[in-house]
Amino acid sequence: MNQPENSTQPRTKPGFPARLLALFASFNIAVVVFALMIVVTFTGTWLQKKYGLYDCQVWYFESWITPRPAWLWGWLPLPGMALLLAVMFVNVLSGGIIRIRKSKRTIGVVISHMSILGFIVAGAVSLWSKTDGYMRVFEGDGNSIVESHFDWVIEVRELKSADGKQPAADSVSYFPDKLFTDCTGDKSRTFFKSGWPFEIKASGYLRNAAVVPSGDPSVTGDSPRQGDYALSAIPVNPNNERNVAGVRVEITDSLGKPATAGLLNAAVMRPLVFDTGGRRFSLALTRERWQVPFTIHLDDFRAKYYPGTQKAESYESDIKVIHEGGNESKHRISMNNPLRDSGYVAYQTDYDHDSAPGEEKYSVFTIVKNRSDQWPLYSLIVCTIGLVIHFLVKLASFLKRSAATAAKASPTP
Amino acid sequence: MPLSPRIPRLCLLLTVFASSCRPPDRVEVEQYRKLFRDEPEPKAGLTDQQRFAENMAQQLLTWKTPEGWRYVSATEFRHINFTFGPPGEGECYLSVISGEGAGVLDNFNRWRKQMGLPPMSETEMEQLPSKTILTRPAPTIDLTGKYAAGSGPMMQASGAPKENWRMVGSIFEAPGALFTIKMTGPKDLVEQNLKAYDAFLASIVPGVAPEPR
Repeated sequence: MNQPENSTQPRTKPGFPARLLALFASFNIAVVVFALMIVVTFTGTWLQKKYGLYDCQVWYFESWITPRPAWLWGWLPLPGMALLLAVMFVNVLSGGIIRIRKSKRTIGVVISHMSILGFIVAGAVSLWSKTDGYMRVFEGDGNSIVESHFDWVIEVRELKSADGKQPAADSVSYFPDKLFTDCTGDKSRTFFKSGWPFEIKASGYLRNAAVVPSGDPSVTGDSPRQGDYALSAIPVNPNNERNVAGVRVEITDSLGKPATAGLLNAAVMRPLVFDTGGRRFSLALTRERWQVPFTIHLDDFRAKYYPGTQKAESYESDIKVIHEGGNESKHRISMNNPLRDSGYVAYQTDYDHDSAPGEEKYSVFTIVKNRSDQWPLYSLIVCTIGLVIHFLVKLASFLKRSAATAAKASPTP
Repeated sequence: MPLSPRIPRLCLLLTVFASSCRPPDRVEVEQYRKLFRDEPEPKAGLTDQQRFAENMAQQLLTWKTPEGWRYVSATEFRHINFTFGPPGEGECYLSVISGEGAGVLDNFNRWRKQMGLPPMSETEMEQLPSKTILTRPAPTIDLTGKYAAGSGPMMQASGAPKENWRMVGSIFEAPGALFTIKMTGPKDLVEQNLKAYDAFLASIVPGVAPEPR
């Protein structure tokens, strides 16, 4: 016999997945995330005056948790924007797409929420995979090498193999600064590679430094030293591209015996060259560099200045793009009119300020490779479509209600 | 609506996760790039002095810093620059005067003027004792008196004249250039550093970099 349905029976407790989804979709989370975003945005923007654009961007807008120097009042860590956006992504996905009641009335809302996910994904792809740097090209000359604005690397190049000849490998090994920027003071890290007859120990990293004679008054007891020279710390410039990194390296041979040691400073154009295991290598601290699959040849650069000033109103470059196969194409790059080629975007960002107006010798392009370059635009279009649909649905509903109200109010004949 | 207690717990978990990422103490190098077209090969066998040279003199010469001396940054007119003595009162520096600069006698007389002494004649200069620098004879003066630093035509007077000061200076000519080495300081301090001065002069050799073994 069937039991009669009892409407007062308590509802069964939802399962773990449903509770997890409810937690992720929580409106509370959305409110907390939005509030924290306001705090982080305000703090990160306000402190740019003190710490500079680069540091604030890394600390507040690209981090999961703000690092120690960025703590409020020195003791209060904030969540980084990457963490807040990750939580927001889960929140919007759970609440705005999975849990939302799907009907004709909510289709615009769902589309708009999807576009928000598009914005966040575009930001994440850009944060983790975008490469950008600058290329300086002199008039009448070409260049295909891009240098990072901010990232340092230690490059290791084999110059002579054991038989005394040029090494067969036509490559340069390198390791990025994120692996040695924490090697300050006594902290060190060892780098090795299969096939190298040595190891490199990096220590004494300084973000902004100059090599000076060890007797220089700027040298302190903590300054990394080598022989008659030392790395002298220079106050960090808020314009990060003006900082010049320095680090001390010790080379030990395959038996663990010290082979050589030296100071590396990005301002020193002569690398440290050493022999070990019958082979010769060079070590250099330099901006991260890479080659793009085309050469930009600068035919002409023009700048238009505000009357009576040295301040450029606009500037543009006539260039030739020469591909590896020899194909050439002519372009004009100006502010807000970049060149898009082979997955790269070249923006006109700077020029030779040292020469007199009209005699500029070089142009500077920022070269960006970003898979999600156009995704924010697509997301914006989707968002617009969603909001327009939602507006039309609401408008139709309003007109329908108005018509019904009007019909009720009108006297029956 | 009350805040769910799970939210702070979730935040804590994420914080621990985020702060636990630090590279290990030993890292294998995996990244590489291709050599650029026409990428120049770094020069082998450079000494630190040549790698970090602040001027042409430092690139052309190598030397040894004497025991107890402090090697300090070069200035416009002090191309290889040292200080010594507890408060750094003692100074010694090498300058290279290239082109149409004043001659040996003019420079000696400029130094004599700094010590409050009258100029000497060419005959007197020829009788000066000589040291050897880079295999060349370098007449050397040894003066004691009241030292007015930086009273030369291109310098401005710096501070009050210093009593009981001593100056030892050597000058030698090379094709197209004049090399001057001057040591100044309190009389006793300079006396204590005469051997260091000679050691510095003897250590100066042309900066031809030896090939590493």
